[in-house]
Amino acid sequence: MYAFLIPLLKIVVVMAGLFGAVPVLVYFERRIAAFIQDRLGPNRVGPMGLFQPLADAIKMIFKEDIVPDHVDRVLYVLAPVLAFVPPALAFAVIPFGHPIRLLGDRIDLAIAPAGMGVLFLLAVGSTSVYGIAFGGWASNNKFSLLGGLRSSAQMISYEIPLVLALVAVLMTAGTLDLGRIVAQQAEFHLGILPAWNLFHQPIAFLIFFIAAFAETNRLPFDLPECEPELIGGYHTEYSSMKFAMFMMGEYVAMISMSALLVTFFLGGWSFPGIDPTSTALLSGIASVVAFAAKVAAVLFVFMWVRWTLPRFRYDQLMNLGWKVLIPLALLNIMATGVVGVA
Amino acid sequence: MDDLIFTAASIVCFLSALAVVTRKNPIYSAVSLILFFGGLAVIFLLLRAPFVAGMQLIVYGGAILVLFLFVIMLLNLREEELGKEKGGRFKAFAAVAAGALALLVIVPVMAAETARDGFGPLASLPDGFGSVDHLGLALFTQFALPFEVTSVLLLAAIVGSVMLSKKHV
Repeated sequence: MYAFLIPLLKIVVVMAGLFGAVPVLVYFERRIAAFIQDRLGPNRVGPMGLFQPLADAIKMIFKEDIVPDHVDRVLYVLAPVLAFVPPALAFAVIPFGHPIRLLGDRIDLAIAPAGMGVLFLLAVGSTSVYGIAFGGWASNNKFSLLGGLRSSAQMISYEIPLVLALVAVLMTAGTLDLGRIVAQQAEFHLGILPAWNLFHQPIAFLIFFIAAFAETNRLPFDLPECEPELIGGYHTEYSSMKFAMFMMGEYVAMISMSALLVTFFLGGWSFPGIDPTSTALLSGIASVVAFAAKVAAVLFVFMWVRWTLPRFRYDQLMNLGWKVLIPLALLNIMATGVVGVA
Repeated sequence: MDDLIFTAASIVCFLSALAVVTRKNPIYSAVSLILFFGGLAVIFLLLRAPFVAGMQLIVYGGAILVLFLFVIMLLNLREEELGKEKGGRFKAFAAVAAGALALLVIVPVMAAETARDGFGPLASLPDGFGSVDHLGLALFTQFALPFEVTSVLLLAAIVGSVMLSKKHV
């Protein structure tokens, strides 16, 4: 009973945190956008506009849910669900804190600390394209279809450099266990420089970072939506909560991608001053806070980039992916291999 | 527990495989195929082959099926075009071919099982079975030649498709 309760509790807490973070992110996205564009942004609802996400949520729920006559009903309803389940599933294996000891039991701060965590991540990530692809096709609208097709092409193109960048990291780490990858990064070089993979694999970090934008359909690679050309693309025909689910999917994907970036390159939950071998509750909480702070910092960069860079053209996007990032990632793997042998 | 998961996964596999060939709309066939790959990945996991399960989803479930969908979505067949049924002779031939293939799998499996005195748990697996490092070692030592030959085959396929899609060579 007790053994069953702990994983259940972890699932509830992590998922609640994840979905609770979405409205907060939307608020910050709008405030940061306003700041960058020298506007005020939402500041009317509550102090500093803090209740704006609540108002948005109520509006979304009470809007009329229209299913247009010309759509393919089954896939039309399924698509928004598929858009946010895979990115949320990634959190099943991401370690968000070091193991703690509570009431005599060792508890891993990850929902399912799997030895093959990376494989699970990649398998789940590869299915995240379907939400947008189905949404675009089922809407039976040429703009939506174009958005869906663009997203399928973009996401499978950028998945390759993303995975190849990870291969180099896995070569230096020598394990597929996310918990161990983070624990390795908790050490220090020369006593001060954290042993983050960012410093071991800077090129892999750069490739992963760029590909992360394409995988989450964010500017400068938001071609599946591309308002001026596609009027929103795959979600043009969606309204009310179904639209909200697509939007939540985008933000959850952003959080998962940032969490992965932090886990693979920025030391995960490790932080100078937190003893990785400790199992004390307080130290565990500190590691969770460190992890959340790092993820928040990466999310800020995501937003910063969105409001400061223009959109790529589609051929530029494909050229960058296939002719620059993939060869670079392959060279990086070769270099890692040579360095590893020498 | 393993038996329960296996039964569930095989039911999913069986029903979705059936749906792949019975759906009239090709997009639903493709969707069923994705579901089938998911079920298959679970069975691979039960067979202590997590790497194969992962690849099943990444390569087939993620990449290849997306390309299938790409083509289907671009063609975007309408109801009336889908209505035209292929002749009964074609279906009969397909059924016979599929049945023969199924026999090819079932007969050797049954023969192997009777030789081992019925169904039972397999012998205990060696330590680290199915792990990525063991798989990598096997691929690059024991099976190096077949592995490299396969990669040459893939390279030929890539060169071939580039040639076909180029108008002026």
